Amino acid sequence: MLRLIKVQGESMTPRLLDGDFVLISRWYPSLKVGQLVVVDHALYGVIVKKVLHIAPDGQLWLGGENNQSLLSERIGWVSPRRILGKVITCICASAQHRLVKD
Amino acid sequence: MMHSVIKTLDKVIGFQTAQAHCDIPCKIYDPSTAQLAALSCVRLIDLIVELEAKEALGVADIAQISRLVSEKETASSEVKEAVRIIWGDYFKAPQFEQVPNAHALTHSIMMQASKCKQTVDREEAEKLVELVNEFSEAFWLTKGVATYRSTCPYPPLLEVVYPDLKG
Repeated sequence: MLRLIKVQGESMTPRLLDGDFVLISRWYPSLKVGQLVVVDHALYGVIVKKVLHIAPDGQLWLGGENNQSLLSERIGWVSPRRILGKVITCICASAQHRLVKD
Repeated sequence: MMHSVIKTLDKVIGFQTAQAHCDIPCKIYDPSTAQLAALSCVRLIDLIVELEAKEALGVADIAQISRLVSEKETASSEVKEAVRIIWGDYFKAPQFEQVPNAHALTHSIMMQASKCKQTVDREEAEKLVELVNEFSEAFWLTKGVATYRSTCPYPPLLEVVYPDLKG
């Protein structure tokens, strides 16, 4: 299942900017470090972040693209059950839409 | 193209939003800092030129000139810094759509503020005030706030753009 999600905020700059859209897929072969995911966080709601580490049991350690992001320590380990989808493509406000590189 | 289509769709359907949280609440922007700094440049040039009228300059006058020049450098840099922050941090795609000449205007302010450092020509500083006024009008346009021009109630008594917050 594919879904379009709107990005709000600056923590993913320069990879994603405020006002960009991301296409996410619920089905993906496997997650890798560096990929972007949209998760439904228990405390912070729906957030888009980068996968920084993956624990052996599949729990995710997430972070932003810059020092303005919510700290990974505050996000904590995120259960893979909370993943709404992996970001497949970004439709950027700055004219061109590009593939989000892994 | 793709983005504008989706943006239009978003207005109708309203896609879910994912937060890319900032830890710092960074939403306080106001061009008045830049405007005051630009006015200071004009005022400092006036004070420098006043000393020029003196027949002989004593040590105290030279010390005063050096203070004034140093303050003029600081004020010019302050204009650049304040405008750069609004342009770099506050302006995003929607604001750039509203103000198509934002990049050119910001760049011209950078150039003009540098000129103010290099000269004691009042006209150059007046040009800086006018450019910052234009920038201020652009900023308030993106906020949906009307503006008016009025002479500032202190030296150098130049025309300044103010937001009409009661409107």
